[in-house]
Amino acid sequence: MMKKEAFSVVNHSVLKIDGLQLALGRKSYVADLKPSDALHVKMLWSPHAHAEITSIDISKAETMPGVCCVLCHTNTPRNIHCTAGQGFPEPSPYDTFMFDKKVRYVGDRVAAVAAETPEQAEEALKVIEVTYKLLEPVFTVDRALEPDAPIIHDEPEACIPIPVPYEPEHNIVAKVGMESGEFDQALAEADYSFDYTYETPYAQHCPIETYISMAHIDARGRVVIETSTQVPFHARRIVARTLGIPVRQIRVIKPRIGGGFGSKQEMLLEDVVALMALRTGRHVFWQLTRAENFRTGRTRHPIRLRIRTGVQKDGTITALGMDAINNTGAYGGHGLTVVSCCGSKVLPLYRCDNIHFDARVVYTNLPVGGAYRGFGATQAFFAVETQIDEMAEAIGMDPLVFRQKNHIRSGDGSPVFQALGEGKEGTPMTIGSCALDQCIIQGAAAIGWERRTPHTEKTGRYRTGIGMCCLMQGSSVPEIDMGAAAIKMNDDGSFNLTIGATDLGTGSDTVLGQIAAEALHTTIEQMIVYSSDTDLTPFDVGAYASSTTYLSGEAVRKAAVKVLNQILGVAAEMLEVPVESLEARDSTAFSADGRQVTYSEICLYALYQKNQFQIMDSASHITHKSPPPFAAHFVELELDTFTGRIKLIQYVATVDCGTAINPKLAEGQTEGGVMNGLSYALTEQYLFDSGGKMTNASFHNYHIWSMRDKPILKTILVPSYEETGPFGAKSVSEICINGAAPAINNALFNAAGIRLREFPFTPERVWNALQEKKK
Amino acid sequence: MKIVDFIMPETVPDARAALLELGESGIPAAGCTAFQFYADGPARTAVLLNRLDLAGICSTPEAFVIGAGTPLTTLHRFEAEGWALNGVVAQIASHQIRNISTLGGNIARVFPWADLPVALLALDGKILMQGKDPRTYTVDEYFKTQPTTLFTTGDLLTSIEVKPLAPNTGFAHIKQRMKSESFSMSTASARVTMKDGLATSCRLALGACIPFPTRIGTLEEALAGSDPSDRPALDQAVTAALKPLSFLPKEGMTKDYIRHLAATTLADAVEQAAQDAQRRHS
Amino acid sequence: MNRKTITCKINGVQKEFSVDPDTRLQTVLRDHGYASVKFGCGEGACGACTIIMNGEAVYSCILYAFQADGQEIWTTEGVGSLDKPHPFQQALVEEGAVQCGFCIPGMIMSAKALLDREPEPSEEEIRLSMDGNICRCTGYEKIWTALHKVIAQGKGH
Repeated sequence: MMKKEAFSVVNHSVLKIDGLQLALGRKSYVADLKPSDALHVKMLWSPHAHAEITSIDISKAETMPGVCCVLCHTNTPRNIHCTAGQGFPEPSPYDTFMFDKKVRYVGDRVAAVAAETPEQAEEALKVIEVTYKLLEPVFTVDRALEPDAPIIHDEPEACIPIPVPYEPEHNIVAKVGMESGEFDQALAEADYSFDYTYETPYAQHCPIETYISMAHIDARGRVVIETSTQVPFHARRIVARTLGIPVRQIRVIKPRIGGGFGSKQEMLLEDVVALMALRTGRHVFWQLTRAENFRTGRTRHPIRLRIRTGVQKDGTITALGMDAINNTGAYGGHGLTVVSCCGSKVLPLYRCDNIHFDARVVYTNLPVGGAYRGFGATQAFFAVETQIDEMAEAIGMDPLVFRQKNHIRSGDGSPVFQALGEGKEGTPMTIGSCALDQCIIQGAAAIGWERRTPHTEKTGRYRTGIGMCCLMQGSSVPEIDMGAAAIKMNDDGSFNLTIGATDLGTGSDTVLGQIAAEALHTTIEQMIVYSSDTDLTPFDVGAYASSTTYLSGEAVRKAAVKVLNQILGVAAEMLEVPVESLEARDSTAFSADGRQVTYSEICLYALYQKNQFQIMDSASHITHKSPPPFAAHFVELELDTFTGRIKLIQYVATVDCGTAINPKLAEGQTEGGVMNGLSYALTEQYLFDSGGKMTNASFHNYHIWSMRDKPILKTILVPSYEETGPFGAKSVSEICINGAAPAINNALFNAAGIRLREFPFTPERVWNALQEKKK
Repeated sequence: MKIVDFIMPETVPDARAALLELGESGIPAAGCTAFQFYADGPARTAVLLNRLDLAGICSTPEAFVIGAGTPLTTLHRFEAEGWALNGVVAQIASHQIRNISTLGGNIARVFPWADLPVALLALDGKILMQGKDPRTYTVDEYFKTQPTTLFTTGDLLTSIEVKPLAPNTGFAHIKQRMKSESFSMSTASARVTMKDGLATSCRLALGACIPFPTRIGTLEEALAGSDPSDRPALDQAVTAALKPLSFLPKEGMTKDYIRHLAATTLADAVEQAAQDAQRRHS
Repeated sequence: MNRKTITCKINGVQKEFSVDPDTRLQTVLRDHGYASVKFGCGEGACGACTIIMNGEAVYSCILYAFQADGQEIWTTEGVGSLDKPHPFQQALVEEGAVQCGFCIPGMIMSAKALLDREPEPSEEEIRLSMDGNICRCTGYEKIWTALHKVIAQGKGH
């Protein structure tokens, strides 16, 4: 591997290749591609949380002005599938039909209309006649698990394509667990033991661009879907299955998109627009309103976590147990993998010989959990990092020192890695790069950890507190996910890099371009990057699991190395020297005897002059481990003990992502993830009425912040070098969202001696905890 | 509510005539930012008020006279001795809303979360309306109930007069909300006149946490002659004064907590207004 | 449907539109090719649709098209070009402040309205002039940095 000091493109904050186009507001997103004669889709959503559709009459709607197509369960294919964007076979149940005879949450699909204008489509929805037989809704996991609970998925077709437990008759989507050592005994024998249960809330990703898709039929009769997706290849496959048409009949293209954060790791709109395009022959355009995005889109899974831990007086953690119940809502996609990550991405952080993990995933008649940045680790870190602080307090140790004593290090393994994969056994791993020790030290210095005083010494109405947490995540899903890249060379020494990997705004086009440029010994300006088009780019699972740099980046690097070998082969022929004697540097091949040929000269020779061929090659990659990025987050806050209101003073986020391929973009991911984590911890929540309908489906009352509420935030990239990653890189995009809730909870303890077991930390929750403490 | 037509009159008499002719199907429109909160109803013709020259602030010794068509941003940027609305407006929504919403539009129909009625009740002043003849209401008269009941077809707000703060009088306006731009959970507004460290009189108003903005007359009486820096006594007086009121749950929080939040916020407003009075006096 | 004509100036050019009175300004602008005006919420809360009207930043998604009659409007298309980006656009790119980019045109219009009026705003003025523009990607740090960069360079307006 190259020495870090020698990097000329990687580890530089090169300008994002689409930055200027987006800053200029040029046509780039799906909505900008819509032709003026596109049909508009509106969906009739279920007003009931649990009901059978006993009859549905779309005949009046079909004759309404401007209406070209109406779909419901009576006129669409009944192909059971899963909407989750995962590899095949999916570690999720097949429990979804395009349209079903049953609705399972407020926001489930009933019927769809395509009309010349959105207003005409809305008018047509009003005349669709539906009769429902109401069924008892299930709104809690406790109810769902009762023996006499209504069965939410009683369709005979429901099944799971991989050999894991699936018990829809008990509303159980999945069960997973692992044991290592003697947990029960260790817990019983510990000097101090703790047993607390935590609840994490619903939340929505809130990308500023809502779900949006458009389909049309091309000249050859294929369905072309331009869509805001994180998973173009999975979307293609799932549309094929859902519609019952071959994959080769479908092309999925992702243009620029306005954010995803996991919400678009799903096939949510594409089947409807595709089928309507096939039936009408027209462009069919569908964009969800913001309210629909909240109610009918994917959410973060609410999870109940019982954490039992044992610690010795000397600070050794002797028992670590997690029992999780994951509320996956009305459909089961991502349920198993999210709760698996509660264990796999969290339990290994601290060395412990006796580990217990047991998790169940449960259906309810509520909005549907999906993939959301952090993916189970977010929820679990709130619980575990709060309890870590609690253990430190019990033994009288500084919580920072306690973490320093116990965290995983380079060279360590964990029984968790082998036991917990995503739907199957995991992959054993020894930690390679780990700069968590430096993350803690540098973060502590930046926040001024030494200024901390115990809450018992604090008086007065306003009390400040400083809290911290440590974090890890993973990079890619080893042995399962694959990414590929292709590179071809042009006359002027430039290269086309085509990748399936999906840029959500994260800058992966740029980062992968940088990796290619570094390996090719050229500059980012010479890279023409095109991504996420199932016809023109090689396969990639898509943007999730913090994979793009570590997995897709390595495919890019390998492809670049192959192309470099071809370049040097041609140069050797041109210069009549052995290829081993050549060195590539600055888009030029240098021979030992001081002669040189430029990349442009080489390509012109290869394309036009002698032994002509197209210099190009491709490579695929699967990973064999999931090296964790590490982070330490710190927060200082001021608590108004009269009202329970929290004011953030400053936040420090340190992260070890290995080599930061583009430092500014890595910082940007961290800054964005932290802000998202902060509002998740303090102000975001789903409020439901008694019928299971979200009542605050608007940015007016679902609160994510503007620059006005931005706290002082300091981001510190702590370098390490991951041998198995391209140029030493790991990942950075998910870990950063996990720190706010536990760090704030721990700071609240430092301010006023209170610990909360659920969030958001609304003023009432905090105030109640303060009143409890007074008793 | 669907808008099917629009008219852009140039004078108040023209606007009134248009509204009278349209009757039920007409609606006065200024910034129109509140229209998205109107329930579905009959189709309407919008009668735009932006060309009526009703925007602007002028100072007289007795009052600041604010045109009903003045955008909130203008109120935020205006500076003058005794002017207190900058801080109030700064806490309302976002700049894009403040740039287009008008004072008149904000008070013509009072939504439960409205900010300005609370501040105007505390600051005291008058509301001027043009019907067949001009008429004037005190703020207390105007905000006694939903002001829409005071309008007959064709009536338009023309200006709002706000009393300047006297040298011995201070003001505080506190809006509790989840993020800066959010609707209020509890708004408290206090105008306190001080002499020798004691509050001689005050006007106190509360909104958002209760069904309709209101002055808290019993608290105003209880605090006359009191020392606002005695916080325990202040808290006690506030709690007692708020006892008969019914509070609303907000943001998933219970009405009991909102009652507590409102009480704390009101006490804070009194305390801060008193401190503001001391500051202005010196 | 009752269509009426409105006239306004957009990015310095006089324009005439035939509009349904119920149509919001955002729809009219997008339908006529101003793609920088984004749909994020349609209810005046996210700021992705922010334009400048008569020198002030406003939400085009809740403004009716008729409110633009006789007014002067600026969108991001009128702010800079590939050859000559506005200094704030350049700074955003240089500072890595453009991630998905969906909020960026709205941010640019709010910033431009601020800096055209006040080239050296205080921190408080900045916060009050950039509220109502929501970004979910960046955490605002680098947008903030880019804004301070152009202020320091005196290139804001």
